Amino acid sequence: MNNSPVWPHGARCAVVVTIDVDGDLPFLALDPGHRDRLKSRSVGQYGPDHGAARLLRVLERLGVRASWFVPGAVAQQYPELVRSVVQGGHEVASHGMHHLDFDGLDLDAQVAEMLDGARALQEVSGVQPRGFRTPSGEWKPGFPEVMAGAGFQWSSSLPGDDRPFPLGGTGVLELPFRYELEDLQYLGFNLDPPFPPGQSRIQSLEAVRDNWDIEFAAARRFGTVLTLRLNAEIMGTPGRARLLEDFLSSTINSGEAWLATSGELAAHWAGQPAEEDHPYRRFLDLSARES
Amino acid sequence: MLTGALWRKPGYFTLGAYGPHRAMPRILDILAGHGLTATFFTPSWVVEQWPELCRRVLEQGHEMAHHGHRHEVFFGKAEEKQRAIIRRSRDIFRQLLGAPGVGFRAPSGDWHPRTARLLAEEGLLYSSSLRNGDLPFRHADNGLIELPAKSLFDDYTAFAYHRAPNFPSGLDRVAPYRPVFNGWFDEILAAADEGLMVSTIWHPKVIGTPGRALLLDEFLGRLLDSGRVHVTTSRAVAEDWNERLPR
Repeated sequence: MNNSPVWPHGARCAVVVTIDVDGDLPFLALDPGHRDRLKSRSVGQYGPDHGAARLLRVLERLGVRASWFVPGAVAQQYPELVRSVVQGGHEVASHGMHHLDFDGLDLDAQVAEMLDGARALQEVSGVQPRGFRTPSGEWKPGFPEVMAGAGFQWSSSLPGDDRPFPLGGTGVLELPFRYELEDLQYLGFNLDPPFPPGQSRIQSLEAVRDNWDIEFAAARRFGTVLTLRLNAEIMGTPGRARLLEDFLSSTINSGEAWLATSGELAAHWAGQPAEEDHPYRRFLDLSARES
Repeated sequence: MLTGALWRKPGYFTLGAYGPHRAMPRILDILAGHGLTATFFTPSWVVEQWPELCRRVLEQGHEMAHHGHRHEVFFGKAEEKQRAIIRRSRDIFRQLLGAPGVGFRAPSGDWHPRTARLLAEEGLLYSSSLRNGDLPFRHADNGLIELPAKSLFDDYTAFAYHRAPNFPSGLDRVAPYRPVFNGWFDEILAAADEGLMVSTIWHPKVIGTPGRALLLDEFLGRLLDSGRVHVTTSRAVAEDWNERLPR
């Protein structure tokens, strides 16, 4: 099934804006000893303190609703921010409790990280999150089944496709992200410990914009989903927020894009027949045999 | 490479399998749109996993060539191990594709000082593994034809990216697409001025994502419009060289 997907209102592609509001949690998750390193923590804290509000203003001006991934600990620390996201008509989704790296956790710890985070987010937002994104790293076998049992309808955790696909027979849909459409990959930077590890230069905004424009033209041609994966502390500076505003304006003005939240994309896709030969299904079969 | 870690990483696996599953049909459509044929260096494990796709590649006039069974690094492998991989790959090609394939490109990294001789002994016509040259040449001691390919034409160098495991190891940024394609175009036209051969090292999972596939289509159109480049399969170049300069 490589025919172009069909989108609502005759649109030629879907555009989904997703924003992670991680604060300083990823930095603390690297090493609890980082607690006293206030400068490095402040890099991440810029997200909930400043960047998120600016991105909310951009989205409000455009009338675009986004999906916001908020770890439980950030929700507890910034309840007003979470409430203004919900009041703005946006969707909130679970992103763990402390933004722990899944590669270092066994299945039980992964499940606890997801459920604790979802509970904390629900207490603050008053909404049960239906979507989940792994903080970083990969889930263990059996995790999607637990997601389904806990009432999650979709995940946005894997980088492996340009359209949704089912996570085996769990009923949970994966809404993949792509590295080319992330801000972290192009623009994320920390001095110590270094990110990127090779300390490469921050990409120019011109280059980011041109790649995204090409991706949008390609999404229209191939009928795919363009999922932006942004971070409040990275994309929320004045100049980058303006780039986002200009880019999203161009997608709206094209008249050819369906702008949706992750939840709306999942609801739209839910009735599609599954691709029997999809790589995720192949992964389940092969990994059971090979490992 | 299909190591144990892959089977614990669904995201990493699906990113790779995007190549045969999603990108290849798109690339085949683009090539057909320009009336072009290409060479697909394909590990025989991939042929086993996606046999219908590989048969479609042949039916559309393209070439299927060898790239190990599971993308093994030949350097450091005993000769008999290498020979076993080559034989197994050719058996799988014969069985699933109806022909054994005559070309080979060394999987990631390096090959072994004896690999070229083994390929010649096993009946292969050419390799496209080394970097040293702007035209085909023969390996002196065994007669295998070499079609050199340069790393500057490897799409990994500009576009491949993944975290945990990290590629590139320093997580350098994805390059701006357009300047990369423009650089490839300029390099090819300069080679055309000197009457040379250029081979790309592209990977469907990298060059066949939507944005890059769009530029690939434009790029191929510009190449053909230049009227200065003959685009064909590696096999056709190797056979032509073999005929014109017999051993």
